[in-house]
Amino acid sequence: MPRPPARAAAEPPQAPATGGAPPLDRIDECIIGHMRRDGRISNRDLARAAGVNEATIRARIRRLETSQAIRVVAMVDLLSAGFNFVAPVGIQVRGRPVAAVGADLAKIPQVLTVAVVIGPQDLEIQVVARDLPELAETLTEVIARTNGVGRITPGLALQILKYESTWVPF
Amino acid sequence: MQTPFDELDQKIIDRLFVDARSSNREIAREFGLTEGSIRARLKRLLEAKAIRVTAVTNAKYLRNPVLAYLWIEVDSTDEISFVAKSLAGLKEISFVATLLGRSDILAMTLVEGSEDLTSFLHTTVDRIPGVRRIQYTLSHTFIKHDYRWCAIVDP
Repeated sequence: MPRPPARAAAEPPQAPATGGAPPLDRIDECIIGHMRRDGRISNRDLARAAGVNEATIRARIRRLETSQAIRVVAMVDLLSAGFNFVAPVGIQVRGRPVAAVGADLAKIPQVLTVAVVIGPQDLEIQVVARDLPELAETLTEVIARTNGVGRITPGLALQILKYESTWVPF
Repeated sequence: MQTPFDELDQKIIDRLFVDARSSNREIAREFGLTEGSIRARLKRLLEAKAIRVTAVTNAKYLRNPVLAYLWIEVDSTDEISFVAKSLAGLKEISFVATLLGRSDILAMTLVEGSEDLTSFLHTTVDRIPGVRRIQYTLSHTFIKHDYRWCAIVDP
């Protein structure tokens, strides 16, 4: 797995959502729409699409990024990277705060997502592995031994039909 | 953890994790290589659908975002594929996989508030033929979402 850059490492629990997006106008929407399809589209092509000059595009992208409204990111296809196994795993927590256990699980590189949930499970996480021995090792030797993890309920993806990240916390 | 990418592929990918809009020229200068070699590598990675470069929007700007996990059971097993494809065709659904174990299908959707979720389910998912039962798991708190990983699937 690629080495995580510092800012994408396990992040601490998020503050409650505040809502209220910074106002986006037609030019911002146009830029975001094009960059969703191709994050490396040139400023020149964006300028042509939005009907403004390149300096405006540069300034707009900088503002969208510094206000933390968007990020332009590279995403790697799990199968191409050799991660053939994707497991949604439910976790029941005992004896420790759920958020603390979630923060510990978030430090495991093979754990891609951690969400606090309501229902029979306390946490839902997504675990990846290249093969079944690696999955077994991660589930039983790493996750199950994390302080506060009680029962784990794993499933396994047979076929992934869709996996998009359009809105993400950062 | 290792991947099948070679050293230069991996260096380029790591570089794009930090700033995906760096120009080929900037990357080439940093690596002491030609712009053409970076361009060729990137083209190959993108065309092979091994990576994609995209804009993501910050979920903290959504009002009361709720991530819903839909654990779906179908009437009969031969309908799984049809139901999964129907779900994948809904623009509000961001993740769909057929499963071993916890349910027949897992689908996920991020909505603003639970009223939004109720109306979405009634007007779309509930109407897909073959859906027998849906169990829901709701989340308001996202501790980690490593968006550097995805599955690039042909629509």
